Amino acid sequence: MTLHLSDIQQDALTEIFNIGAGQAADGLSRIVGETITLSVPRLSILRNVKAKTLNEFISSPRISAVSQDFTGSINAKAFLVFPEDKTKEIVRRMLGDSASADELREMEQEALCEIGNIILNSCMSSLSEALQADFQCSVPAYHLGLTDDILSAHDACDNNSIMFFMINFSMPGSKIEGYLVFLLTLPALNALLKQVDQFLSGIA
Amino acid sequence: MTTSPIKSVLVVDDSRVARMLLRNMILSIHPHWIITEVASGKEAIECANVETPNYIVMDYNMPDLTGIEASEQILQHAPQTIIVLFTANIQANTRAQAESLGIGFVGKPITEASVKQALAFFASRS
Repeated sequence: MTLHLSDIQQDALTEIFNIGAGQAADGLSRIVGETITLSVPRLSILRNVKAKTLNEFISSPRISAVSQDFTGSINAKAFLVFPEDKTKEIVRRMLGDSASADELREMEQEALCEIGNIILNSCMSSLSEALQADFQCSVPAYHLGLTDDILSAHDACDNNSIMFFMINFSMPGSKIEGYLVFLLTLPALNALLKQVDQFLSGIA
Repeated sequence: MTTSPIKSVLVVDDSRVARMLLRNMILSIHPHWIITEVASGKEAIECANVETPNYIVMDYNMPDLTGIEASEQILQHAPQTIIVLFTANIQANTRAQAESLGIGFVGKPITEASVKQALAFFASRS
């Protein structure tokens, strides 16, 4: 079931996360030493869905994900999701060619957590700044497995809402897709939309 | 309120919210300026050919053309147009593309300070 957002609410949230993603890409490009190409973002809000519905959005059934809990004005669990087969390439670019295969394996989780930390915090900072909402965030946690298992393990889908923000981060020579998934309780989602409305009333 | 000459500004952004913010903030500083809004690079090229605005505020990441591609085409036909790339894509490479094209660069978010930065660029080139 897709929760109805007005066009302007949808536009506002997409623009806010787009700014966060742009800031995140700047941070990432400094880390990997290459320009990151960003796609035009897409945002959907789904309610009362099974996690497997997300497979319509995420092309790979097995994913690597980094999650962080955000608490404060709005409570949310945020995931940065990559198709599993792409993560080694991301880490290799982050650590450079000098790293051995063993080092890459050892560092993979830590490197992805750092990337997740940058991207998720950039998006939440953008949200915080635009909506004047304060958040505290947990340390990033790493997950590897099936999309269903990872998202369902966090009492995620059945009673909660999923805000799904899709943007592709491409690096030269390899198409690496990253997805952002935000899990919110229904009251948290309503609180978020209320703050979006306040933001919009300020500029109308 | 200022008494600066009336200028026309084309605001190019696929986000309606971004266009609203830019329009409102520019008009709060220059209430008599004429603002036109379009949502894509292609529309911007068409509009710039017809209306020849003094200034253009251009997003980068849009569905058809990037802001750089649209700016290149606009400047081919109207090299006197003063353009600022106003974007969330704040990477060094994007700044360098803007610089090589001779257009301004301002990073989002759209705030009073960042809009004033764009207006200062326009004033410096006028």
